[in-house]
Amino acid sequence: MTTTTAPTEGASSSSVTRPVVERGLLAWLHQNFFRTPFDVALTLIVLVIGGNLLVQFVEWSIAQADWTIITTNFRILMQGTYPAEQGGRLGLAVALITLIAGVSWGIWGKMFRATAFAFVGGVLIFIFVPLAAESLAEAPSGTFSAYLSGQLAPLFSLLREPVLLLVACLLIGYAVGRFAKQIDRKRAGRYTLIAWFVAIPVCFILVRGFTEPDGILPFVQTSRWGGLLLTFMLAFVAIVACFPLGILLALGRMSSGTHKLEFKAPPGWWLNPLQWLHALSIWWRNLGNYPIIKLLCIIYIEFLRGVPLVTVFFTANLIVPLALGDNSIDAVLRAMVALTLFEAAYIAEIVRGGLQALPPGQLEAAKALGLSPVQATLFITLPQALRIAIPPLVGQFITMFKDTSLVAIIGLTDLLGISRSVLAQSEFIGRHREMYVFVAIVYFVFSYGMSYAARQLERSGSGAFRKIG
Amino acid sequence: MGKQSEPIIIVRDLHKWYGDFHVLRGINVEVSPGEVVVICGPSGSGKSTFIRTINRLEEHERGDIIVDGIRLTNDVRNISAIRSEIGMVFQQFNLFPHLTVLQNITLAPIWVRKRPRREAEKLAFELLERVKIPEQAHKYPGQLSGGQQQRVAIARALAMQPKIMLFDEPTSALDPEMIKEVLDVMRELARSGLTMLVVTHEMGFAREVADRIIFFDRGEIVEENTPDGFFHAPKTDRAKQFLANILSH
Ligand SMILES: Nc1ncnc2c1ncn2[C@@H]1O[C@H](COP(=O)(O)OP(=O)(O)OP(=O)(O)O)[C@@H](O)[C@H]1O
Ligand SMILES: [Mg+2]
Repeated sequence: MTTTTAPTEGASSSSVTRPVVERGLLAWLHQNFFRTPFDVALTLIVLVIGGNLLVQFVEWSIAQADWTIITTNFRILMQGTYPAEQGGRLGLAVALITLIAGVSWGIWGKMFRATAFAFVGGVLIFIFVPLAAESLAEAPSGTFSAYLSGQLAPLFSLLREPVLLLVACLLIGYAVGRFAKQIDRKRAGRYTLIAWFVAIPVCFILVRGFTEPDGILPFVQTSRWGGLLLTFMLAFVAIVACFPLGILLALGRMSSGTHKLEFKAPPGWWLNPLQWLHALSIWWRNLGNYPIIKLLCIIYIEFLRGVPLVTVFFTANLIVPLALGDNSIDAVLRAMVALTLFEAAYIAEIVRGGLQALPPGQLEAAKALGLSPVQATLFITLPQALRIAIPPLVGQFITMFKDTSLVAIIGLTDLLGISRSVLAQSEFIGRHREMYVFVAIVYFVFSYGMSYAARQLERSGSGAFRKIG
Repeated sequence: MGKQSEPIIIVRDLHKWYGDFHVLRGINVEVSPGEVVVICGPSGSGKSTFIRTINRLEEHERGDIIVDGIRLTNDVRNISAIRSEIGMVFQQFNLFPHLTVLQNITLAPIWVRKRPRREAEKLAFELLERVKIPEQAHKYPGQLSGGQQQRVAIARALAMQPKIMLFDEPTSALDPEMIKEVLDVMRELARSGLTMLVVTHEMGFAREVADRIIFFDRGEIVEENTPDGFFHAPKTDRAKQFLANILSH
């Protein structure tokens, strides 16, 4: 924000000069926080409360917190009881996804100065904190130096390699993406999309495995997935699966009963088998327009939006095996199915909102050109509706990512579930704060990452969406 | 004109209701191939509704519409056959904002007419030449002026090589200096022998280009006349009043 002052007299009397604009930190502070007495009061109150909280938190984390609960349990928090000797597969999957994310960013996104600084700063912290800590090794306890060497340094040195690797993957991907974009933007974009579609199942197979224990990719039971790995797999599979389902539900709910075919029965038609066939074919071709489909979609959406997610998890967990008379269906798979079915109802409503926001002229123009209803949906209405719906869709995906923490209730050990079992160990009694602060930070980092990526995606629309009409 | 050939559009006793509101009350019209018919009338008289029933953007409840020998029924095949014979241009342009100008024009030829992409693009460039904006092919609609957008919309409709073009107030959403560039294109189309039904308040255009003028009021055709007859010696009082209103400003 900038401050404008009264226009000054120009050199030539006839021309009006542009108002002088004050820039700089002070002007910005004044404009945003200290413009009116009310602003000043508000700013001071917030500063006092916020500062107090911050000081308390820092005091706590230096004098009392003991982060060894994180450092000793780090692997189990990240991947549960996934076999340690197979851990490289997870690393590979993560590296692959990060690399493609970097490429996409290079092609569609932009590197903002703030982002670049954040990267550089993060990398420096991860390199220098452990180094600095070593030189402070024998500081008296209770001081900041002791805190640094005894508490933070192990955490940072634990995180250093993975973080540096990820940042490297991201930046290499970014560079590749920028380079590819310069050569042929269209083709680069298309190949990146294909890469995503290939990478998603590949990563799933990498994590799950399929061969005998001595094969190249030994099968790992889902009961051994845990921690952040399980959280990711649940969210990932559910997001990928609920999206198309939600779109179908939205289209079903928006469908109407127009273009019905009439069966004009000639006299004595029941004596003629050919007329029967004709009647049958008309019934069949009308099927897509039957209000029953619409009704089913409405019932599905409204019902699932009307019950809490936990009940859906319980239902999937208890009733489905009962109904199928078979207890062997994987608990993780059951949770994935429940989450997918539940979230699809929300996605459907978001997509429907996008479809309804379109001017009716779009569909009319498509019809007038002779496009079939399916073509009009695929080429005209759906792409525009999804574009409009990006912000709420991403919001829903983030909600979904956080909703996975509810699986702890049905006994799965996702990040939250496993943190509770870690807290139950006798040597870490009473270390709830450290654990939950850590868990919150992990959820925040990924949720914020998603929302940041989505904002970049929205901006990439360039000329296409500058003005609708 | 038109007596020697079969009519390309036949509308008989057409009725339509919106709920209880009787919008179209028994319309009878025949249009010969190559004829340019201008439809005018006060706001709310049912002009838009009428031309939208011809390509089935609105369903009618009674009467017959026969276009190029095909009777409009609920049969999906008839509807799509008729729609690919008829091009339509809207007041609000209705270009697809997420597609470039070229993609807007080639979409229907490629997917409905099953033309090869190369051929469709060649035709698209010819049409853009014809509406005088060949240099805008790779822009998005949002980057064009209103007059340019409407000319793209005309090119998009022409790309299906329709026998009939419907125009619903194509210049009403345009600034005065852009109206002329659109009307010029429409004049050229009329000369080329395309059958056109045009709803418009541009009386100068009607006088110059129309073969026939149809005057609508309250869902009925009140007067059908030649342009000369309509403007100089309207037969009905309602038409006289309408002309007085519209020419007074
Ligand atoms: N979807 C609808 N539902 C109900 N009434 C409608 C609908 N569409 C139009 N109408 C009504 O039908 C009448 C005719 O509308 P129409 O759009 O055909 O008029 P018009 O002659 O094109 O007028 P204008 O010059 O303002 O475009 C109007 O009174 C309008 O209010
Ligand atoms: Mg109208």
